[in-house]
Formats: sequence, C-alpha cells, structure tokens
Amino acid sequence: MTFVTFLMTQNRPININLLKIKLPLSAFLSITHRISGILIFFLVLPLSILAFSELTQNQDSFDNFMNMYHTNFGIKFGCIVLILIFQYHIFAGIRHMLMDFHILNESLSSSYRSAVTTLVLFAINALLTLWVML
Amino acid sequence: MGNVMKSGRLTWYLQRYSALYFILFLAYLEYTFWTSGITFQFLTSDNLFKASLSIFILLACAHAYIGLWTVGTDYLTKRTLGFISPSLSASADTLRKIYEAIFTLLGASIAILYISIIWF
Repeated sequence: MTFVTFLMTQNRPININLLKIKLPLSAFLSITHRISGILIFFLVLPLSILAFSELTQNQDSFDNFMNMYHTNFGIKFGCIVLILIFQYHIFAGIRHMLMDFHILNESLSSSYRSAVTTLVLFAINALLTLWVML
Repeated sequence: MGNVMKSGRLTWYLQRYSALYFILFLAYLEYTFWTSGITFQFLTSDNLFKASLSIFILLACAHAYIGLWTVGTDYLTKRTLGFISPSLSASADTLRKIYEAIFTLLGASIAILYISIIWF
C-alpha cells in the first residue's frame, strides 16, 4: 500500500504509523538524505579530521598518507565510500533546495521524475568518482 | 542555542544558504584538484583555502546542528517512539535531550579540532 492509497482508503483522521507505510520514491530520497546527513556528521567528519591532520602535519606525513592510499586497498575503499555518502547528500540536497526555492515542482508526478533524475545523475557521478579515485 | 532554534525562518534560511556555500567551496576544491592539484603546500600555506575551509567547517556544524535538531524533534518524540514501544515513548523527552547533548558536544569538538589543525 502506498502512502497516497493509504490516505485515500481512510475516511477518518488517523495517526500515520511511519513504520508501516510503503515509501514513494521521493520519500525514499528524503529519508536517505537524512540518513546520509547523520552518517556525515557522526562518521565522515570525525574520520576526515584524522586524514586532514595527517595530511597537514608535514611533507613526510602527507606523502605517507598518499602512499598508504595507493597501497592499502582498505584505506582507499574507505575513503571512496565516505566520499560517496557525502556526494549522495549533496545530490539529494540540491534537489531539495530546487524544490524549496520553487524551481522544481513539488507535485507527485514531477517529484517522482526529479527523484529518478537525481538518482541517475548520482549513479553517473559515482562512476566518475570511482574512475578518478581508484 | 534554544533561542536560535525558536526562529524557524532563520534556521531554515541558514541551512539552505550554508548549503549554497558548500557547493561553491566544493567547486573551488574541484577546480584546484584539476588545475594545480591538492598539494601539501596548498593545504598548509594557501590562505584562501585555509579561510574558506574554516568557514566551511563552521557552517557545516551549524547546518548539521539544525538538521540533527530537526531529525530529533521529528523522530525522538512521544508519538513516534510510541510506534515502537510505550516505555520508549515515556522516556522520549529524556532520550532527545541526551541525543541533543551528544551532537552539540561532537559538533563543538569537530569545529575546535579543525580550526586548530588549520591555523596552529
């Protein structure tokens, strides 16, 4: 049952149980935007401090980090995943802002189309990121 | 902080205009990456980079504070937690306060650590 058909089949005001409805695609983007934001704050930002302090200590530690990135696949893979989480938040965030400033329409059909477009653009971006970072 | 969060219009605009700054900053980093490259010299001696990264970190903490506060007041409430269990619902306000204290402390630590690594 989708959120909309759920509302249409009910004739009386009820509380919506967020755990029991099937999300439309635009709601999926909205909740994953929130989850990626939480992950950035509690995971990406704290770990980026470690990387940044290593990169800026002195030329040797900078070279050492770069060397580790190219030789240790775990570190490389971790960096790519963290950057993809960050990029996902930005792509979904740009769509939200375009809606907030009324550049994108918020109707059900047009928000579905912009959600698909966002996911396709993010997938292309993810491939380009892998191509540059691997 | 409590008073700032009562102005929904201010926080709404702060979160969106900070996001515009993030996009500009990332475009600047992307441009540097493809032209002169991200070098040790750039990270430690380029004052434009150091100043714009400092602003980025401060705005990111403000942006995250508003976003995490919104998420907390959406989900860590008596009503939403009540979908899971009545006892969780009863302690919703306490849980939300603990959550808010954790992200406030972490945000302040991130900002202080970054600023001191950038400039000292």
